[in-house]
Amino acid sequence: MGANSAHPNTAHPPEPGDAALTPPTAPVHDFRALALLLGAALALLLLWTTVVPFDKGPDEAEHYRVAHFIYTNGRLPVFAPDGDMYGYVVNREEAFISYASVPGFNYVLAALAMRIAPGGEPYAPLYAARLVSALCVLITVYLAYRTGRLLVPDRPNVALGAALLLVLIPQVSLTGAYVNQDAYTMAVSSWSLYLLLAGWRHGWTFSRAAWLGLALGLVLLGRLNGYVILPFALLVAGLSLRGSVGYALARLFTAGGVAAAVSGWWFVRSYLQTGDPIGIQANLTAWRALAPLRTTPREDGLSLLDVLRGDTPYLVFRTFWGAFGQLEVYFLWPYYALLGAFSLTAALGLAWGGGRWLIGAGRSRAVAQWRQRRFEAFQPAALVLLGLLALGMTALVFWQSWATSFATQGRYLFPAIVPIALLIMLGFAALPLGKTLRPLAQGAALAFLFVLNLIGLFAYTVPAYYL
Amino acid sequence: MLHRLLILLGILAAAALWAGFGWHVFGQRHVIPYDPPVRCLHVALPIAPGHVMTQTFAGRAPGLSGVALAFRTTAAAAVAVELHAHDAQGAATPLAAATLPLPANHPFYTVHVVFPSQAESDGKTYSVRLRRPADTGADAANLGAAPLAWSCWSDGFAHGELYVDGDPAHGDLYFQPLYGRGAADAARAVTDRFQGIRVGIVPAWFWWLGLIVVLLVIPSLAVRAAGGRLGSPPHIVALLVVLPLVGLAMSWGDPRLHRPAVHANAAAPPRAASSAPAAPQLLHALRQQAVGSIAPQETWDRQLTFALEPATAADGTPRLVLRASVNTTVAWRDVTIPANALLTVRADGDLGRWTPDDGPIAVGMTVAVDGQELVTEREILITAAGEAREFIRQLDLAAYAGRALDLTLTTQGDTRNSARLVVWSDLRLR
Repeated sequence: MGANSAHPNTAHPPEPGDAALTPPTAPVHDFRALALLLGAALALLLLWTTVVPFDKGPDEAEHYRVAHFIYTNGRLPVFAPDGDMYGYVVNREEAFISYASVPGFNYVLAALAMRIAPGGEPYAPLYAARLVSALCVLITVYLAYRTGRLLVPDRPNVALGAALLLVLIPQVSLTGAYVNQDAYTMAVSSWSLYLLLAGWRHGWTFSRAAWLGLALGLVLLGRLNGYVILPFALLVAGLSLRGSVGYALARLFTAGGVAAAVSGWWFVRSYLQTGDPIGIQANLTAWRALAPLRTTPREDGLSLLDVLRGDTPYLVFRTFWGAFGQLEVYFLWPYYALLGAFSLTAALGLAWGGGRWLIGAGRSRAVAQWRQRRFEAFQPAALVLLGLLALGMTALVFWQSWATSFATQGRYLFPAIVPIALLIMLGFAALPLGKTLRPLAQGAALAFLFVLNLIGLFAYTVPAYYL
Repeated sequence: MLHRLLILLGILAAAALWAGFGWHVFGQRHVIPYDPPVRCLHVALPIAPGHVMTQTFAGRAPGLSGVALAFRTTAAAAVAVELHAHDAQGAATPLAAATLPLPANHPFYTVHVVFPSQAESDGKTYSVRLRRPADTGADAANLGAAPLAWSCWSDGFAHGELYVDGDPAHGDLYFQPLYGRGAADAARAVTDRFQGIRVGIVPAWFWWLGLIVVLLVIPSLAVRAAGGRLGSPPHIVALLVVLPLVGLAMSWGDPRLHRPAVHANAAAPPRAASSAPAAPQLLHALRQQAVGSIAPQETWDRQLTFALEPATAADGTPRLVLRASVNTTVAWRDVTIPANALLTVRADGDLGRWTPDDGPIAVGMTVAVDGQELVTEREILITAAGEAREFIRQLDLAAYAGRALDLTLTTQGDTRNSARLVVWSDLRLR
């Protein structure tokens, strides 16, 4: 894709300072570790994929219904009461609304995999569709490694640790194990983030802008919570595009044009069919029709603050780290307490490292470096922006929990999972523990998640449904 | 030489510890007794003195060695549990019995009743019987203290039937048979699972290979991520020894994996039928026909959707109350209306637990006949200022005598404190 090239495309004159953004020592990939990482991650994801029973991931049956329709009919389903898919009533407050109304390119990919897979119904198509989720998580693991190498090239173990941590989060493993939109959205959002940071660091060539357009187009064809990447992309573009107005506009139009070409067809189709380009209004109309007594916290007269003071943050926290089945099997609370301590330790490490950087010569030096467009300034700025993205995603989840009553789920943070994993590993790497204890803390953090992952799979999921 | 010997010993220790971890986790398996899985709508049923609740089920593996049960209590109580085996003709043979002491005020108290393993349990029919011990007959007047057994209103939870006093009842008891087994059985069960889902030409051993890859490679990567050397045998072996210890430590404190058990006697003595007074007929009738829904926000450990609780009115007569969290829907389907029926619904907010931060609490009610709504009302029970209001509605159902009605109660309120705030509804149908 050209995103990893050390220098911008020479077909266009490089912008002043672009070369300076590349650190003096180009990153050397630890190919052996990377290969082992991807192999082990694939093995772990396949274990989860084969053990999780059908419809024991959130709404898998509804997701699979859309993929299976495309697989058998060779076209997208029409969302309408008299169309191919709409929804059905559970009771006056509960309904299942088809995912056919919202963008879902992941279903097309799943249907393609189902066509290719050898073997017949029922297992081969299902596991082929699930494999798309597993591969999306695998791609995210790879992108976490690449993003880590891009941001902290002098600390390859942080990149490796972040990628490993990502796949060891039990909820991420589960997300790679059933048919859903989250895995796809996670992968394309992570790709967009990587390309944005690569463009910032190495400079914006036409080629890089076009790749970013493709990635953003794929984001637009995924779950709506991934759309938060779009304002982030504009922010990064505003910070990193240098040179003449024409130079900047040309790249913006390139990225925007490719994104529109990739995804525009969906919005036109949706508008023609439902009168709503995104489809969310059609979805809400279906909810009102099929579950008229369903209310959101906002409709109940609660404020966003009320929701934040209630159980919502804890529920988001638990469903970010690990909640299994149709969100009906939870770890016992001490595990979440340990995960809370784990998160707090990483946050303290980040605060300690950031504080040292601010108090030391870092801040004043960074200003000068920023003016010179040096890599040393790009690194903290990018990390701060990624942190803001993670916080923004969290705020969005809370807002959705208030405005809609079905968004209280931590996996909706997964479009920002790469920044979150990187910041956690950086937090552990910055702990003031000395040269002997710090690696032990990093290793212990990963070992803890590894054991938790196995417990989630073999001691919670398996006993709950099989053995 | 010593270095290699230590590594060898480390590998052996790691293998033993992993086997121990596997044994600890899989040594006793929990079986949810349904296939295919259905969602369980949890409802707590009172175990009234003088009544017997019986759940039959089919053994699905050899080595039946226990039953996990779940209770809800308001007061400390005891429940007698008996396990029977049934032959082809239905004759019951008592196998084991135990008396379970239940703590007070527990929303979801799970207990394992274990007994000597039944080697030939696969395919055989068993039953679990719950009742109050005979010496609590004097408790009959205090129906409000009766313990409640969690059940599922979705019929089909278990391959069996729920009976109350010998009559078939709606739904199934919420329980899990436990099967003891060896590590080889556990491994075989996992292999069978893998075998059942083989895709294309992928053989079952591939998944075991995958597990081994995961167990060996991920610790190595963790060592590398911590700054160590990739593939360093001492580091990997050390981590392989430490990991199962961490797992054991974590799972040891997890009652889901390591639950204290009540040991049952090998045989249940025959017991005479209790002479305690019967529970209200209404309780039995409504209990048969209630279905419930779980609010979307409810989670596994808070699926306390509602409970039908016997209570004692001020005049000493037993009555039925519905104890529901806010944002709950409870429906009684196809209730056959007796002659001259008058439906009374009375609801109160629990002002004693209310704080100004909780906001207003409201209750809504819908009564439908054949899908057509007769009444839909919503009333504030506790205002934002903390003023309690009474909600009483009476509906003359005489015109529907002999017909089947659907009655739906919807409680709506602040979700912040749904665990603390409750709505009481007093349902009467005369």
